[in-house]
Amino acid sequence: MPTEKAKIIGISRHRLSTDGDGVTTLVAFHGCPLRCRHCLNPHSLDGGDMFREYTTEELYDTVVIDELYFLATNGGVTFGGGEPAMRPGFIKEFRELCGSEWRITIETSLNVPAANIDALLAVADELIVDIKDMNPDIYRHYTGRENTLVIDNLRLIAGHGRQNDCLIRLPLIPDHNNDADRTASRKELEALGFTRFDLFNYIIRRH
Amino acid sequence: MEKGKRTCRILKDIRRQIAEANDIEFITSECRYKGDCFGTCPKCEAEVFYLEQQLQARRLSGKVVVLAGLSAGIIALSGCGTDKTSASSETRLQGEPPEMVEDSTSTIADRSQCEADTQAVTEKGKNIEPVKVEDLAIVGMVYVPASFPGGDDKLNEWLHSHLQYPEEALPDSIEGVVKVSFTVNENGSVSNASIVKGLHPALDKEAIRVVESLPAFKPCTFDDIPNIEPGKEVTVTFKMPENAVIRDSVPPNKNAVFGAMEQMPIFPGGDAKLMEWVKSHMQYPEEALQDSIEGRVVVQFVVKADGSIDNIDVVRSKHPALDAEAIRVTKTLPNFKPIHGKTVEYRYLLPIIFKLPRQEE
Repeated sequence: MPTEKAKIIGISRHRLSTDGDGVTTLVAFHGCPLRCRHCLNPHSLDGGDMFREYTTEELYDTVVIDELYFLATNGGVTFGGGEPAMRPGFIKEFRELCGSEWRITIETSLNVPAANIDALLAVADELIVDIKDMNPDIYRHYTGRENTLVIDNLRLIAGHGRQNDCLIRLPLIPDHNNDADRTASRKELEALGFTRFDLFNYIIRRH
Repeated sequence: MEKGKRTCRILKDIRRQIAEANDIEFITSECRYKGDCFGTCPKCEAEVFYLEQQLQARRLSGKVVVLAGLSAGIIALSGCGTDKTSASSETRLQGEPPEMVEDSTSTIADRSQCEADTQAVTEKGKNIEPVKVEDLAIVGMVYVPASFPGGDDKLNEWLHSHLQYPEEALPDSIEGVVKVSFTVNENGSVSNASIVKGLHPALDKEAIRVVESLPAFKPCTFDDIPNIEPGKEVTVTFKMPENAVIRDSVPPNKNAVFGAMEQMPIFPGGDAKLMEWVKSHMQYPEEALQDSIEGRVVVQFVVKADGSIDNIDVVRSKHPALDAEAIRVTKTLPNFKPIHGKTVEYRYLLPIIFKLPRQEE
């Protein structure tokens, strides 16, 4: 089986509870289908050239240095980026390398083909989803893309009964949505059986 | 920098918990690292290396290692974490100065206070490289590996002069090298020899025998304190003795069991399953619950060659009620996997941790 490779824009060690339980290492992928107005990692977007290609083995060898902390705190590796769900094969292979004791968390927009999320559900312990907004117009205005795939994948996760493994982040985005919009998004998600939410605000720095 | 120091403190606490739970003497001292602290430094990495070595030594000598989920609550306790309850509508502060690169042509959204910046792997000099053993000497935790008195030359001399080419291998006329790994204990004695690369059952057996009969080494030290070092390797060379008499009437011993020393009775499913069993069969004694007693009891028992358990003793007591329960639950353990044809027995140490159930907030 050929070894999977992926373009990584950054690896951040010793994150404490920002991206999942325990001590985690964040691995940020290059590449994302969205074009969010206030992207946190604009150098992850296609066309940028600040990345390094890793094989799953190379990545494992790089992050295994913190295995002691992963095991002691039920931590592990969080894949973000960029859009990690564009690389389900890589993440599946990584899981084979690191074994079942490490916790794998995936920070994703869910705006990827259903087959990708299906593959990831098999190897991920938790998905953290920044949903932006459930309203298609608001979503399109902020990300430049349609949210059809997102809705499909939410249903897919619900269909597998994995809502409890999902943390949905509901942002309040200045000039794009308001509290009423956010409440409406939340109600829609609750109707699908999601119960774990993280409400927060985007604060935009202006020059 | 503040955040880095807090991270460092938390990681140090985790290391301390691991050491305590596994009866490892924890050598740590105040951080004197002068550089920018992101939460780790070569000295902290050295402590991780030391702990991993100690844990590996324990596994090799049959002791149960306590690790999974040991420090699971430690980050929540430290007061930094995401709020994941569905009832919360709290705004998370994002006012920290930007740690992300600011693009002057567009506005950037910040994230929470607790976030560290993503270190670009292509940026030179910002990646923290894993610490190599040779580097440890530079930064305050001096590691000296175990050594044979007189050095490697003397070691090879000794092995050569004490090696006895096994008679049963003579007809096969085998020559070559056997790689053996072993542990040098804190007092310098050698134990746990096992075959890394074998050659022939009888030669392997003789290689193990001669390694285990080695005189004491100078043990490894961390900051001058003697310590255990597993995984030391030595190469044993076999050459046909010059005056060997090859007697064709002696058949080669095809039934010799080689590598016998590294076979040990194991619990079905491994250490993790053993701990699971203890956890699920343990009943917190009523008396200890009422008096709010919790703590660690270390139990010792013998595993016989047929896998059965005997001679259960408390070697570190906490309280009579906890001790009694530790013995009771150890008695419930199913048999270990037997080793056929051996009459040796193995001694296990099992730490059992009693933690009072926490009230729901």
